[in-house]
Order: sequence, then C-alpha cells, then structure tokens
Amino acid sequence: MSSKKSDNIDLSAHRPPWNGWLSTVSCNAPLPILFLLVWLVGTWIDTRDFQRNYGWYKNILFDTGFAIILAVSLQLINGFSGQFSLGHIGFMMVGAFLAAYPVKAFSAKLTDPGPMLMFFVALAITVAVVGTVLILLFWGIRYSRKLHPLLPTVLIILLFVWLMVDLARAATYEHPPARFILTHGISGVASSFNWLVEHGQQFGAKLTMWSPKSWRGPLCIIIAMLGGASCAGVTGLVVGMPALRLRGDYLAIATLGMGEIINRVIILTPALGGALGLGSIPRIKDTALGKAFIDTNANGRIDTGESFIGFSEFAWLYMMVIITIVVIWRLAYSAKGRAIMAVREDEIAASAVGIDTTHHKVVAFVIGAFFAGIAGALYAMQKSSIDPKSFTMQRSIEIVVMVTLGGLGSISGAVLAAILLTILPELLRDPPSAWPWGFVAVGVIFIGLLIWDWRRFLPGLIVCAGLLGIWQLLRMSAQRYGVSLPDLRMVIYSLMLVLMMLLRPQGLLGGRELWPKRRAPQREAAPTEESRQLGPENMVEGRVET
Amino acid sequence: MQEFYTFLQQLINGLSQGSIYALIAVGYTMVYGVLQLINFAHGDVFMVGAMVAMYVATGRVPPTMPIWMHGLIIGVLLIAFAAMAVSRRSAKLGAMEVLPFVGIYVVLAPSLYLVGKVSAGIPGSKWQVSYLSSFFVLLVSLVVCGLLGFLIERLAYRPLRDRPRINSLITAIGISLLLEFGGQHRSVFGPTPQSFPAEMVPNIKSAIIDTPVRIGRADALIFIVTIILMSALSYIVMKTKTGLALRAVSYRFDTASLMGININRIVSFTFVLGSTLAAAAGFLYAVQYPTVNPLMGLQPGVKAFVAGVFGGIGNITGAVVGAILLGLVEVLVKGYMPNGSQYSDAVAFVILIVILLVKPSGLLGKNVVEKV
Repeated sequence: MSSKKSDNIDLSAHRPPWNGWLSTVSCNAPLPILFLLVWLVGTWIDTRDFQRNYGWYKNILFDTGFAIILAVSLQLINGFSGQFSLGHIGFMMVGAFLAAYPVKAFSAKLTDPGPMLMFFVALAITVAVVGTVLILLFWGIRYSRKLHPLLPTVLIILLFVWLMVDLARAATYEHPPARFILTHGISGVASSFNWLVEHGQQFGAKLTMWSPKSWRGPLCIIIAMLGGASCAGVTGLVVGMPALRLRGDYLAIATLGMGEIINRVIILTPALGGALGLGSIPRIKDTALGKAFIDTNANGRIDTGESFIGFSEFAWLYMMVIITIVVIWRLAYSAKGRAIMAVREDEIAASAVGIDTTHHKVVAFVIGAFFAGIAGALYAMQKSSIDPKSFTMQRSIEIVVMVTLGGLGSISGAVLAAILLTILPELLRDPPSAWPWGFVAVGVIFIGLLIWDWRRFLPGLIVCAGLLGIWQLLRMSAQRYGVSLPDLRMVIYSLMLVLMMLLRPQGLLGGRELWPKRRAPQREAAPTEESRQLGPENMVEGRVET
Repeated sequence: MQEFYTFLQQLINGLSQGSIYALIAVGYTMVYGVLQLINFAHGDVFMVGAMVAMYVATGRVPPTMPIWMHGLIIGVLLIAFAAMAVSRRSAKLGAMEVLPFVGIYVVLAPSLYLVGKVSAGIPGSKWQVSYLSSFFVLLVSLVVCGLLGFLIERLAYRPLRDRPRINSLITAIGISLLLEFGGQHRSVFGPTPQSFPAEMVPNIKSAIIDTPVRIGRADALIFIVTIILMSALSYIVMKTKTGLALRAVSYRFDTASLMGININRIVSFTFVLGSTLAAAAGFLYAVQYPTVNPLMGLQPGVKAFVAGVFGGIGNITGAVVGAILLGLVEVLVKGYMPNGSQYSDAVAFVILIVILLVKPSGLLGKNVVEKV
C-alpha cells in the first residue's frame, strides 16, 4: 500500500522543523519577530550596567556568535557536500581584511557608505577584467591542443620561462622599465585600480549625500559585510574551482595549503597592514547607530541620536547568525541541498543520475566561504583590530572540530558544538560551581522534555547530568588539593575532545537535526480498487501502518 | 667562485634542513600508507622527542610534576574505561583495551623520573662533554617517543578504526592539542622556550670543514644520524618479515589480514617506528637550533607533511626525496630571492598546491584509478 503513496510526493516533507515557522525567509511572521527579539535582547545587553566581568561575558557571547556562523557555514561544505575543507579561516580572513580596509580608509566614522561602495565596485571591475584576461589565456592554451596536441605543453613551458626571465631581469633593475610585462602589468593593474578608486570617490560622496542621514550607518555596515563576504566568496570560487577536482584527503590538504597561502598573501600586502594587521577599525558600537540606545541624554531618556533606531553590535551579529542558519538550512533541505547531499553520498552515482557534481560542490563551497566572510567582516568591526596571526591553521582546525563534534550533516549539531566548544575553555578559566543552578537548569529542561518528547532526549539528559556531576567532582577535588584548574584548562579541553570523539564518534547529534523534519499529515489516498474490496477497516489499518 | 661557494653552502644548509624534514615526513607517510590517516599529532611527537632529550641532557626531570597530576591522568583514563564499559562498545572488548594503559602510565611516569635521576648521576651527563651521554640522550628520547606513539595509536586511533576517518582526524587533533598544552603547563615544561645544552655533543659548535664551505659538526651529525636511521628503516621495511607485512598492509589492508598478518601489531609497529624517527629528528633539531619549546612541533610538522605529499604520500622513498627537495627549495628561496625569508614559509604551501593540482599522487606516487 505504501508504494501507491509515491505518486503524490508531498514537498512539505522537506520543510524545516518549525513547520510553518521559519519555513520561508521572506514572508512569515516568526523571522521578523525573532529579529525583534534579538534586537531587544541585544540592546538590553548593551545598556546593562557594567558589572564585574561584564566585558568577559560579552566577549564570550561574541565569540560564540562568530563560531556559530563559521561552524554552520563549514557544515555546508564538510557535512552536506562532503568536501573536507581545512582552510575555512582563510575565507574569514579575506572577509575581515577586505571589509576592514575600506571601512577604515573611506568611512572612519561609519557615516560614509558611498565611497566604500565605490571601493568594492572598483575592486569588482578590476577583478573582473584581470580574471577575464586570465581565463581567456587559460582557454587559449587549453584549446590550442586542437591545433597540435603538444601545443599546450609548449605554450605553458614558454610562458613559464618567459615569466621567470622577466622576473629575474626586472629584479635587477631598480625601476623596471615597461618591457618587463609581468612587473609592469602588476603595477599597471594596481595603478588603474587606484585610479578607479580615486575617481569613484567623487561619485561615492554624491551617493552618501543622496542617502538618508539615518541610514548611512547601517548602510556602511551592510556594505562592508556584503563586500567582504563577496570577496570571500570570490576567493572561494577561485580556490574551489581547481581544488574541488581533488578528492578526500587531497582536498583537505589542498584547502589547508590554500588557507595558509591566503594568510601569507595578506601578510605580504602592505596596504592590508602587513604582519601587524589593521588597527583602529571603526567599531559598530561607535556609530550613531550603535550608540543610539546606549546613550541617555540629560533628561535621562534614551537618546536616539542621529539614527531612528538603535541597533547594537550584538544585534547585528546575532541577526547574521540567524540569517546564516536560515539560509543554509533552506539550502540544505531544498532540492539543491538534496543534490549536494547526493554528491556527498556517492559522487559517481550522483553524476550518473544527472547531477552536475562540480557545480554543486562549488556552490556549497562558495556559499560557505561567503558566510565565513560575513563573520570576518563583523569580527573586524567588533574587535577593532585584526591580526594575521589570529587566523592560523589552528583556528580552521577548531572549526572542523566543531562541525565534526556536532555531527556531520547536522546544522543544529554544529550550532550546539560551536556554543559548547567556545564556552567550555572560557568556563574552565574560572570554573563556576554547577551547584545549584546547573542542576536546576538540567531539571527544568528535563521536565520540559518529559512533557514534550522524553524518549528521544532521556539518554542525552542523563549524560548531561553525569557530566555536570563530573564537573562538580573535578572542581571540588581541585579545590581540595590546591590545583589551579585555569592552568590546566586547555589540557582538560583537549582530553574532553578526545574522550567525546572516542565515546560518541558520530558527533553530538549524529547527522540528525535537533528538530527532525516533520512529515506533513498524509493526505487521504483515494480509495483504490483493492481497498474498496477489502473494506474500510483494512484501509484504516493500512494508514496507521504507514 | 665565491658565488659558487655560497651556492654550495646553501645546498648544505638545505640538505641538513631537508634531512630533519625527511625524518619527520617518513612517520607521516608510513602512517598514511597503512591507515590513510593524517596523523596530526606527529609534529608534537617530534616536540616531545626534543623535550625528553632536553630533560635527560640537563639531568632534569619534569621538575614539579606533582602527584595530583598523575592522579588526574590516571583518573581520566579510569573514567574513559568506565564510560566505555557503560557504553555499548563493551561487547567488543573496547573497554578492556583502556585499562592496561593506566598500568602503562603508572610504569611510564616513574621510569621517566628514574631516567632523569640516573642521567643526572652518571658521569658525562649534565653539560659535560661526551659522545656517550649524547648517545644516551638520543636513545632515551627514541624509547620514550616510541612508547608515546604506541600509546597514541592504541588509545586514540584504534578504537575508531572502523569509523570514518574524520573521527580519527579529530582525535589526532585532540592528542596534538593535549601534547602542546600539556607541554605548556608549568609543571611539565612551561610556555617559555629553553635553550638546549647542545654542548654535550663534543665540539658541536666547531666545523669539520671550514673553508671555503662550512660544514658544521651539527650538520655532520644530522647527515650521519639520518643516513644511519634511513638505512636501518629501509632494511626493516625491505628485508625483514615485519617489513614485508608492513608493505602488505599498506598495499591492501583487508587482504593482508586475510593472509594471516596481525594487523594491529603491524599498525602499532608503524607508529612506533615513525615516532622513533620523529624523536631522532627532535633531538637533531634541538642540537642544530639549540632551543626547545612546546610549540616547536607545529611548523616542522606541517612542512614535513607537505614534503610527504610532495614526494607522494604513502611512499617512503618519496617522502625522503620530497623532504630534501623541500629543504633545498626553502633555503634557496631564503638565500636568493629578495625578501626571501618572508616567502620561505609560503613556498612550502605553493609547492603543495602546485603538486596537488598537477600530480595529486606526488612525485613518486602511483595514480589510483577510482572504480565504481
């Protein structure tokens, strides 16, 4: 009987968990309500009195937000498309530096969106032109094999020898003359880019004039975010197109190398601050926008300043977190997401069914890189100074750990693991007592789940309670023997990592979501010939069965 | 002529750099050949080798390693045992595998302590000059790292062998973090770099040949030790029965077990062999650049890994060739390109990308055709 059902496939089965809730990015009420909530909580957090350790908590909140964006975007690459990337932090770095540079250079007070926009436009034009030339060169070499099969090899060798000779000879001149095409070409591209940026500024200033005054701050931030993220996405495309031909470990190694190369390239670019990085980047919270809700005027009333709406950096970050999760969720559980997952399961079978495997891998890679770029841009505008040394291979390995620990192919798992792995080392810095509030929290959640769906969550809750107990035991024994746990925090962290992986290799959620995809209630199937003969009782049974 | 001598000098520097990379890269490549696993902890085994060598050479033991820390480690092992016993894995005897390591640890920690005490007591140690003492130092660090490699495989990788490789990768990262941060704890080593007493190798600062090209004794030591260890390795891999089994396992893992080869033994053996070579590399590195610090394993580890990929990962000869080429290229870039020392780190990765795009199987690797 179940085979008959396959005729009317119900697309609502692929809906995200809150059936109806969040199911579309654009229209439904819950998303704006969620944003409103984040905005309220964010402004509340920003207007809270500065208590002891307040900055510390706030930093943890921010790091958690960045970790969530990074982990979820890497989940798309590693978990859903099955392409193992070890260089994710490189994309965040591109986003951070290429968003921070124009913000710092053109709108130091976050009031000048126009010139920033024109900077990105100039960058896009330059990249497009250079990219077209390179692609034409590439295709030219590639299709020269139609003339003679050995021609591409000969051309590549000639090109290489010429470049080497050009470089070597140009290096011996103090001011290389124009005939050295490579050096001249590079400086030509640079100067034309500068020309574009300079002449764009006038138009950019006009754009600023045209934009409403209270919109300029948010426009700055949005342009920086989208610009940095697009740069990261383009980098992802450039990295992904060749690298995604590789499989498995080779891809992992290649992405690792790409991440390191991105790091070195940025260190070697003087405009981006070199090895010292960029400092004194305008912060979101310094803008009229960020300040609006923080400042109170002489009457003790909230001063909305130049902006009509207060918008803390916390709110910016967590709205982007929500947008990331929603977009990647929608992508992963859409038709395209099915194709991406099919590539993960079996590439050859997927291509046999007619899925363009390269296309889907590259799409996942570029979208992952894009969101990493958004995290980078926000990171730059929150920390106010960025340093190439903080975007090392170790960080990208951390993100991979989050993704794997959450469970490959589980967005909610990635979110959970990102929260856990960011908070855990910080908690160990000053281990608080889990008694009584930790146990109270577990108890409350426990009762809630008893009402909701206790069968699925009981083992997890028992494990949570056990972990809390171990935590308390560890803390007590450390106090008893005079051990300073903060010194040992990273040791404990790494031990926990190994143990968690050994005891639960499939990750926290193991490829499932916290809220499983609920099937929409099955429609009444039209009574078939058989069921009519068998009578209504059997039909009901059959429905219950399926 | 002077230019030529400079060039020769660069070649010699590159060779000694490359030899150290080669000793590390062999461990990476052997493990990859057998298990298809990138052993991220290998660079840190190299660091532990240097660290142990330093303890023994200075006659110092991990100084203030208090009793509670041993208690903590044993406690964690016991908790792991309990957790494994409770979980479903107990049916597969996974839990019983953890328990012996409490015992091993109980033996290992005091024996390290004793070795330190003994080396402080014997004549010729503690900053005194003797070939015997340096040999002793090397030996101890070889043995300790061999044990460490054995333990790592047994505890972190074997329980996850049937699982997807990414899980082993994560435990490898965890072990690597554990060694790094454990080393940074002040009761083990402390975060600050300490200088290695290279003087205990006689006349280490002087040169064998001084003009026109300088070959320092440290370089000579590196060449000699590398050549001896590599010949020993090739003898083991090519001529002994265990070596035959190792090659068989790396050729076809499952079929080898059908042929009556004890896979677990061979994998443990691979790890011990690789870690031993890494320890030797750690000792030589500490003699050449006489400082030791808990994060010293990161950079050489990654470079050695790149070298392994360059030569064709899974292929021992390839790893050696790749490592020596990488060392040469790095030193030449440093010497001859303007601002070369800035680029020399990136060169390894550029080589990596180029080789992966042009010939992913590496210089000496064989192309594996994927079948449905």
